[in-house]
Amino acid sequence: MRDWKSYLRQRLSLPEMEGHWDERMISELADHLEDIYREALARGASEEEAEAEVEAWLGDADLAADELVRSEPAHARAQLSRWAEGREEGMRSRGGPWTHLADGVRDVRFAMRALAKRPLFSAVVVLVLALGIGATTAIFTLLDAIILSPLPYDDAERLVSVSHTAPALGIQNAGQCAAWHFTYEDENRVFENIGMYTPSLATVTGGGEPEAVRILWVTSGVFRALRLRPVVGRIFTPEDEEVESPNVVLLGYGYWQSRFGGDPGVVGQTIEANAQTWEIIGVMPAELQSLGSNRLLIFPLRYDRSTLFVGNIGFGGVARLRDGVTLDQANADVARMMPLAFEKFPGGPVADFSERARYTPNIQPLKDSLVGSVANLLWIIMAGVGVVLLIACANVANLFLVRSDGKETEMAIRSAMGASRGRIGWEYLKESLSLGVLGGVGGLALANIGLDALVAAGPANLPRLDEVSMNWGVLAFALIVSLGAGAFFGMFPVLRHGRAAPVQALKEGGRSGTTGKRRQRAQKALAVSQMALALVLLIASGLMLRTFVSLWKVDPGFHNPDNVLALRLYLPPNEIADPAGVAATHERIARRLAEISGVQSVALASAVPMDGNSNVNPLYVDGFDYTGDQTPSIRRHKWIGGGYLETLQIPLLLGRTLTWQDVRLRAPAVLVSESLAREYWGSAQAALGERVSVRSEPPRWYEVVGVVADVREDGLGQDPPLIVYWPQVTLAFWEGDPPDQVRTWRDMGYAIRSDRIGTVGFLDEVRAAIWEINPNLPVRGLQSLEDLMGQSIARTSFTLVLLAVAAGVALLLGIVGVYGVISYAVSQRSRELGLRMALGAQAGQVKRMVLRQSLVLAGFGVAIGMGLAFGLTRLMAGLLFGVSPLDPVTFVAVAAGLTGVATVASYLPAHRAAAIDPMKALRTE
Amino acid sequence: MFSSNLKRGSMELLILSVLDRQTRHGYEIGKLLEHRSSGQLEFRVSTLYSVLYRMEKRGWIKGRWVEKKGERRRCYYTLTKKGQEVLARQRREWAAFSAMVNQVIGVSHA
Repeated sequence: MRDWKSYLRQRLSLPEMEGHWDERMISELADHLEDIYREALARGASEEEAEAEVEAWLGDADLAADELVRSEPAHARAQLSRWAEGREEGMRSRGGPWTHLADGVRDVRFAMRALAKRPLFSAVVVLVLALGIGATTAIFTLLDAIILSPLPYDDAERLVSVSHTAPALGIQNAGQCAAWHFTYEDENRVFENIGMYTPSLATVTGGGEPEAVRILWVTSGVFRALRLRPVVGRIFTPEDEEVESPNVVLLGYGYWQSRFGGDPGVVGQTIEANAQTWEIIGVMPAELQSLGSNRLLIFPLRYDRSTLFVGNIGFGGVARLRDGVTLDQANADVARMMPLAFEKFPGGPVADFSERARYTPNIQPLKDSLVGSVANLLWIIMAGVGVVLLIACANVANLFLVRSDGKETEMAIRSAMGASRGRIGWEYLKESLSLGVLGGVGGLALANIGLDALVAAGPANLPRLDEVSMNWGVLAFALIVSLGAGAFFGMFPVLRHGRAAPVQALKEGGRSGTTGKRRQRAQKALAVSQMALALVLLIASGLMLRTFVSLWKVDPGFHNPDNVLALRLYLPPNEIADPAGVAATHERIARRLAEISGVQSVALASAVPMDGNSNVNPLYVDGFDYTGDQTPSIRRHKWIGGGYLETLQIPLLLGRTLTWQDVRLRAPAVLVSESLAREYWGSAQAALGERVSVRSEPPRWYEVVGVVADVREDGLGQDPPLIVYWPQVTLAFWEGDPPDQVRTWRDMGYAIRSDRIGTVGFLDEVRAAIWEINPNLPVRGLQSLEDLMGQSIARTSFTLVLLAVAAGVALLLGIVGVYGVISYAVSQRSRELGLRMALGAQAGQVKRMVLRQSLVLAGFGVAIGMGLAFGLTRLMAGLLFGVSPLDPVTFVAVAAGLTGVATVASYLPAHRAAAIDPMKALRTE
Repeated sequence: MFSSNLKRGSMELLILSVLDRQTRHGYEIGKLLEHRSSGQLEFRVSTLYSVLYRMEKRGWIKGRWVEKKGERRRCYYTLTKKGQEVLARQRREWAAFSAMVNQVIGVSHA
């Protein structure tokens, strides 16, 4: 045979290929060319002619080489490798620090090649890391957006909330009022700008069905303090705040997009809201949402200063501190100005009370006031996913320790040939760091998916959810965690092999002996630590589960909430001007709703339990002395129509309920809650016949005609407030009201009890019944009482789900870790176990020995985990309800469960150990 | 006679059909294609082997080095199970495609 191989090598410039593909190609092509040559000769061609024929079949050499290179199986990978090689050469040629970079590129290339040679191992490691890094990154993104990032305003750390406390009345955050606001605006020395705002609702008409929209009332100072510019048009000026100025309104960004299609020509158009026409003067940017999410319209607060008094506290206040002013200075200046408010705006129905309540300033960073309550929850969840990542790293460290056996001889040779410890260490680390980064990339993809789910499932009252997104800070975090994880599990083989003398390692060949024992100790320590961490997480989620169960077991005070539908209706002044008409209309609507088929009863109230509405005011009790320094306590108040107790199935303990008759006759009769009765009169029985009033000069006494069971108005996890139930319509109710002043509420809640709640068509019938009375009334807040209950514990549910998922993943990884260690130990001890069985040990004895080993590991893990849990669960105390952070039942149950699961996981290796063939085991080297 | 695009597009089907129920080496495959097409199909050596290697990467065929008595060591190719499924599918697609093209351009069978 002619030497076609040399011929081909000369003609085709094939590069060196993986797996010696170039050799294979040359061999096959050489055979083919030989066949062509021989056939030509067999036809009678001369040698020269035969060679020419071979040339013709080969064709253009460059084209042929290109075709063959592209068909090589690892072509894509090889191209990448060659590209990297090219870059590396380029860096080296520049010299200096570029040489080190070139070394780094080469190391990464070799590391990737080594990982590609073990695809299953690499895939498992990357998956485990991706889970851990992904979970941690997703929660960090939440944390970053909600807690760590500054608010989306210029110099946000200079922004403060302006509020007040009344410690004597037990009120932590009373809010702001107009009189205080104007006093601070005129007299302050510490604020660059100050504004006041309050969220509310408005009825928007003129576009089909009347629409209830969430709005914000603001003074123009809010925009100046936040340094917000409109997207189009202009913002409010002080002139817009004058009482007689034209009606102007700003659109919220979302509303501008959804209702007006983002049309910049919207300025100058009008909108009908609360039965008035408002001219749109501009659109606010999305950042305003920090003050209240999803606010569609923004209206100017307008006051006639001559009518203001210190009272009607409950607004939000925001201000920007002047440069160099501290929080303490701001609080001191507000304390100085508070008495001035009484001079500037004297009198008013509650002046006396306000003065004696001794309010104090509460100026704090704006961010704290918006997100403070949720910080603890997020940090705990962050700790939970951090534990999952640690367990994942321990798992991977174990895998790395096992795998590094194969490299021991190679490293010993390198060491014997002069490689430094640092160089040897770097050989291990470059693979682990590469895996860490690959795990990080996978984790980022998982985090992206997980974040969408988290934001969708997050409780509605989690602040700043609309600001959650992946940013450079999150990417940097993911990179640091990836490299940290890679360094962590890469260190284990480094520490182990770094110390072994080369001669010893070469002699042992990495099988048994000192290095083997050290490896097993390291693996066992990792398995124990995984178990311990998994136990902590399982106990934490066990405690949350018990909290959740306790909350659902709490007696809310009402019964069968799944059959109660809640909704709210607002009767605007242009529809019905006088209070008597408002009350009569509400009653008509309630009676009409009661006529719907399947409705058992309907109730009317200023607030339905857990709907987020509440009213607090001072309560004067007959027989108590309120002279001198004695101030009446602030209590909860509710105004109800007939049928309230029956509809909500709230037990009446003593006396009688309030009826529609009481409402129509403006009867001076009230109900009180059981705890309020005990607070003032010692017992429910003693409360009947006693008298209460919300005004003192003169008081207008209402007689207690009934005592009802306590209701958890603010949520399952909150104590029931001390509450007075007033009739829906009252006479001369508030301080300063003339004797014939009728008072009622335009915005009322309805509760409808029916078995048809949740069925098709029922809601439509409800709306139709309401619109039969008045077609211009938007129906809002339609949801069942059971849903309201669920929302009241939304944050607990959210935390529980996240911790439970983290604990589940931790358990899985921990058990896999234990299984891996025991399994590997059995495989390493197969010779020894075979010997034991050859000498008479029974299969059962061998099995029990392996299980005992696993139990010891589990025992250590559980013991250490219990110790950690004792210390750490205290940090969760604020999230728990009805269960102590050191609850023994949870601790013992979880410990027993984990030990059991670990034993079950070890059963398979134990069974394998017992099934060892002694002869085979003894023969194996 | 045929455009290189047309030849290239049908090469896999041609090679699969040649390997149907028979193991062959590269030279045999080339000669068979030439013979069955009455000399109308001729491929460069590099083209033939690059397609063979691509099909091997996809798992349609498997190459194995065999040394037969009295012969040189050669690499023989066989259809895998997956390759048989691909062949059956491509045969059906080709029959349907050619019938459709004939219909459109107005070519009828004799």
